[in-house]
Amino acid sequence: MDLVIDDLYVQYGSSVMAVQGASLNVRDGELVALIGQNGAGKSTLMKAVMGWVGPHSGSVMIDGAAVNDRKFSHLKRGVSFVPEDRGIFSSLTVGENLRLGGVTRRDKKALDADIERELERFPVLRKYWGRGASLLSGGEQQQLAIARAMMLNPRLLLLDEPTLGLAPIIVDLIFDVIEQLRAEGVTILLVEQNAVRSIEVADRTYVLQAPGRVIGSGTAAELSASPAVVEYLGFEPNDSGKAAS
Amino acid sequence: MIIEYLISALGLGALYALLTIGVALLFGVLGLMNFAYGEIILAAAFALYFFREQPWFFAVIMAVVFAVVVAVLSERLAFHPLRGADPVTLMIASFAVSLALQSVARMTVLPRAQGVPPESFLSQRVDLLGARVSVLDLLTFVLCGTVLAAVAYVMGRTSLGVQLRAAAENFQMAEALGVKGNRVIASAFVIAGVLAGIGAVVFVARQGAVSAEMGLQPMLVGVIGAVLGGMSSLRGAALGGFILGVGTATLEALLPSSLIAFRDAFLFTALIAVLVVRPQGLLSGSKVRVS
Amino acid sequence: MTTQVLVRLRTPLLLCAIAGVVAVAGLAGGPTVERVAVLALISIVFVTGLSTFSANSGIMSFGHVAFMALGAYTAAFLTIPVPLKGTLFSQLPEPMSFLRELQSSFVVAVVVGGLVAAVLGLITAPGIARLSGLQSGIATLAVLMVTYNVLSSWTSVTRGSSSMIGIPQATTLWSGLGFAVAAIIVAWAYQSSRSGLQLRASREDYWASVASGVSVGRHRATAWVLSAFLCGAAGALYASFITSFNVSVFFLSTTFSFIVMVVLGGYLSLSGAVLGAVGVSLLQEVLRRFQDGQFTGGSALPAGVADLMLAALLLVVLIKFPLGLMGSGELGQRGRQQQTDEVEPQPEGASA
Repeated sequence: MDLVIDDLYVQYGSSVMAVQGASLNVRDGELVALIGQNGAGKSTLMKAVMGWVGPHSGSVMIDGAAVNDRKFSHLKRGVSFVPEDRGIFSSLTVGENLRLGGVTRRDKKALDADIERELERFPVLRKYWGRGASLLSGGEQQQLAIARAMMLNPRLLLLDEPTLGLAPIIVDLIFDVIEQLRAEGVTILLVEQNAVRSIEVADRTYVLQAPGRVIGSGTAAELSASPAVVEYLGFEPNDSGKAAS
Repeated sequence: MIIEYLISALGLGALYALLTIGVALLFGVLGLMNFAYGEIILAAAFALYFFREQPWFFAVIMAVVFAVVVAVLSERLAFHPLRGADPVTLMIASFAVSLALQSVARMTVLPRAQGVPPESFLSQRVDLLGARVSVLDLLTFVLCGTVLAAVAYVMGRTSLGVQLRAAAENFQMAEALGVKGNRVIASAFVIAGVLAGIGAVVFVARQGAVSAEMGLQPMLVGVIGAVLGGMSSLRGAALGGFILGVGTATLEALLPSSLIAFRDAFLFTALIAVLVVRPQGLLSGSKVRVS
Repeated sequence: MTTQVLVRLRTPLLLCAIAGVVAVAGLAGGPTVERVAVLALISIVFVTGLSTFSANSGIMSFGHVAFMALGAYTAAFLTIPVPLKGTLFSQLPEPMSFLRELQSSFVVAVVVGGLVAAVLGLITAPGIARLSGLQSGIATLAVLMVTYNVLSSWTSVTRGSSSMIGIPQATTLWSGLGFAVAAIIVAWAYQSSRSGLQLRASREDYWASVASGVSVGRHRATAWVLSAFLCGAAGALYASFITSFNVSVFFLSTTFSFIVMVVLGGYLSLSGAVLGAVGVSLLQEVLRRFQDGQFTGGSALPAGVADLMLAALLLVVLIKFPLGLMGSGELGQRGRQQQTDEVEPQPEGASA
């Protein structure tokens, strides 16, 4: 699974160009993080990958096919998306939300097995299986959203700010899960504000600055070699995950 | 007396809840406040007129079939090309569909009202708990109640229902998970058609006539009920419609006859008040952004 | 500076010229053409009023025919000869019996018709000012429903479902033209006023306007009342032209005709409304003749064909050109093309 974004410009609303000339790629099996401050254009870029907003110019290709092509199907290509607002259906129960993630799957036995797998990973979902999803806390909703995205057994998982507004202990849990998924072979593009943790878990990291421009990329060592990136982030990234201030 | 009133109020409540759900379902799934809903009912009423010589049961089935066909056709021809348009544009479009269907009815078979004599068994009365209750009131209550229960089952217990609820809440996300938008919307129109068909059966039995304009009142009932219920959930909408029905029956029982003619004025004034004071509906807890 | 004012004046001048062309065309043709022309001029007054609210606020109204109805009933009370009124309104309730003695000139009747409608506008304004999008659409429709219900049920005053008759015919091509020109100037003046400009700005971005201290609600209310006045005047003109009318005129099918006019022309533009009124008036006449069989060798088509074709036309326009002929631009102003390409402004608060 290869994702290639080339010189992408995305217009938002009638006048604002939220992404201006971003280029990045995610290779098969990689965990790539995309970090940047609020309004840097991260979420817009993610929506462009989903084809929810069209490119003004430039391209987004998955395995060589353009995502905004009419015939392109994110489902058939195995692309799952967890949006920033988590996209949980509050009028559905936890179980219904989870099952909906596998709505396209024919083999219900295999689906049940996958549900079981995710319930093992997120025990809290088993506990609240029959509850209305609106009653879950933010962290629980995030777990549900990730579990639901896994119902497609995705080859590429897009996570948009999965730890936004969550308690530190839940943030740890989410990052553990992300590493776990990567170990299972899922290709992941992770959009985050939590730069320290993201750089720590990711194979490579792209740094995005408003309005949607990549100012640096690479491993922690490569990032720390760029003065512009260090200045923007406000710390020097290193592999141990400890921010040197 | 009390039991008669109760049965008739509950019957009207169930009928109005049924009509309201038809409106609210389409609004939820695709943001369409469907003013052509009345003409879907008209299509069913036309079938009842057309097959009035046939066995009643057959006519009822045909009424539902006609309503479903017209509902689905209106989606394909008018609303499908407007997918994603803002709700006001959709509402104007539904206005056009409504007028077009009325015109077709007027051009063909209904230049003026036609009588559909109610089945004789409907005008009888039966003893129930010591009261003489009309079969028509009883039928209204039982038929609408059954259909409501069926809708509740479909929405609550089936995969289609889950998909419909998901699409109504967040269409884009539902599609991203693999819910087939086109199929869900089509089935919403089918369900709305079935509801309109059953509603028409009850309506025609109560009025004994069909006419090109007959869709207006049930459509307005659906819209008011949906606004009262908050337009955000089907359960709220059903409750809104039910309260509207019971309230109407009560108003009719209590209002002095000189004021009954102004019933609609009271209802619509109340509607404006609800829109202004509680735009999220009387029965909904969540806040809707107002501007 | 002077040239700028001249450029700004081009729009009302062009629109008045269009009204003038309609009047001249009516003069040139036979009585049927004249009738169509007068009705088109009255439609111009109405859509100018409607557009004063909807084009500036970006909110569609389905209820303005209620104002037209009030104007028409007012004109009937003011101009039907006193002796006839005695027989028409024999059951008038005591506090209103003075209406039987009232008598005024045509022009006064039109202005008072507008004022009475403006009073209803004033009563409903606080509610309307708070709503937008779909809720506003439903609320405006509800205003029409209440008005219609009262007019058709308050038999002792409005004659209920019996027709109003005996209104002296006073609206002619020239008086129609005069009022159309006046309405265009009033609407354009409001549009260019501070209130109109701020309201238009809120149409593009509601929250930005609110954040910069614009009281959008007050401007909406102002536009609403002013538009009620113009539509009321249109109703009085209508009554004084048609001489007898029934309450059923002031309901959904008339509402629909006016909606077709503003949507076809472009409901965000005054020019669009005027062009739509003229175009649709003409089209309706052609369709009526078509239905009567004038183009099909004399064999009349069933009633309803004209309505069906109008509805189909509206659907096609909504699908293919949702902003109508003019978009949000005005005749005689530059940058129209560019503005037409803009994304349709999202009605705020519409998502529920």
